[in-house]
Amino acid sequence: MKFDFSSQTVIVTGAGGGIGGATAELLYSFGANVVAVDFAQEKLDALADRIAPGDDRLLLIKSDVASEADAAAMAQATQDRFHTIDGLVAAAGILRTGAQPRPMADTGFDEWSQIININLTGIFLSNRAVLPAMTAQGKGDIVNISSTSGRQGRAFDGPYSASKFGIVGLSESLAEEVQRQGIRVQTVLPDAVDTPLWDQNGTVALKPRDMLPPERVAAYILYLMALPRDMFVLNSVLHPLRSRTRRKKPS
Amino acid sequence: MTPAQPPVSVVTGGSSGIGRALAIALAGRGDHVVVVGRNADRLAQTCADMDTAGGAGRHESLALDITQETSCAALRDYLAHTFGRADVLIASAGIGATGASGSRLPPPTRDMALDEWNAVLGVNLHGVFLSNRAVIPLMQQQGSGAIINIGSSTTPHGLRGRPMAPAYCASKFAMGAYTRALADELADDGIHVSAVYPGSVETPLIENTMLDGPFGGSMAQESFAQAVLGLLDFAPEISLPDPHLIPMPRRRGRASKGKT
Repeated sequence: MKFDFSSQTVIVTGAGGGIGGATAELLYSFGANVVAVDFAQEKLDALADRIAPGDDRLLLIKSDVASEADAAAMAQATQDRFHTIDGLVAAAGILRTGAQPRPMADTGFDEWSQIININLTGIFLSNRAVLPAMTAQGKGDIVNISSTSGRQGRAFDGPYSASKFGIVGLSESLAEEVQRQGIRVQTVLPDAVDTPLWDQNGTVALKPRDMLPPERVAAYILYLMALPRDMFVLNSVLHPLRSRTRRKKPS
Repeated sequence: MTPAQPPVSVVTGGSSGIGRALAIALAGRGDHVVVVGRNADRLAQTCADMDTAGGAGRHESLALDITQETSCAALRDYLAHTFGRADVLIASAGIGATGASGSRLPPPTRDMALDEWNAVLGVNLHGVFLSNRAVIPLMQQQGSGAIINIGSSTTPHGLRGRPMAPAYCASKFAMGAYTRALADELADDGIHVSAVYPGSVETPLIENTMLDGPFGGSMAQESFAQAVLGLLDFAPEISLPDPHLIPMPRRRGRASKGKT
């Protein structure tokens, strides 16, 4: 499938991270106006240095996705600069706040709240912020990033998994509300992706052997946005290819 | 794949509907395409349509009944002798009902004849197994290949049992489970196996029915084919189990003419 995003404006939250960064970069390379949103200014600067130093097709916004005011400001700044919002890729997310995985019995309310606020409330706020523009245009694409933990829980990942389940439900609800207005809402549930998110496990060696390259997840996100407009993919699950355990058989 | 040797793609159920649209799309991207179906005349029409779509590949047809073991052996031998390889198989042959009862309404389970049940399972389940088996040896030899079996999203939320379609729903559930098992079995051979679950597509299968009702619309065959070709591009690099391709419902206010 050939991608062409020229003259389209797409907001990417979590653009300083693995999936968000790769998606921003790929969208930019296919001609989109990219609004890169992240909490960490230094990560945004690094992204800009990497893909487009000083280019006016790239707008950097330092923003807290869990803040209602920041979400409104993000949409306003995008409108001011590019006059449309054609797409939103909501990729901002954290795995945990402590340095190590913790059993639920030892998980503080602060940690729970922060994960839910960023991963789930952040999706609500960023989605809600772009709806007025998309409704006015009668067209738009929203891609929310959940996880395979959004359909199957896992030990020591309670808050994360709850937030990712929540994203699936929120997205399904929103899709039913707005798809007759031409706004397409799709959710991606990637298995382990090779990103800095894993550093949040500290010294605990939980990093799986087979992981998805963030660039391929980004390509899949662009595929979803480039689909013919009379269709969508329901809750896409992405797995890495398993490393081969045996050699090709001699024929 | 060098330009001199385009991929060899096989499409069952290639004489109408989704299969025909997929065959034309594969031809359009330059593949050698072999369409398989029961009706030689309709297959010839698909071949003509593929020629029109362009592409440098050869466009062949094979009239056979994929529910028969001997037919699938013939398909295997044909591919081995004609091309010596098989890169893509899309098992698209499927039926909703035989229409043998003469009624336009689907039969309730109580009144469903065993012949009807067997006929639906014959195409939708046995036919998929047999057509898959026909290409697996070649793909194993190559150490590469992609198999896509066409399932069904009977509701906007995926494949669910629906009233008055016991054989159809059972066949698609069974085929889905079979496909997952095969995917695990063949992963180490470099063969990518998946089932794709389309919601309502504008095809003869649902013509004059209300099957698109729950979806609020249907997607064009061309849209579906384009999306599946896109999925094939990802096959060598990521695993996409059970993608569900669902139509967007019709837009509000678009029914009346002259409105934008």
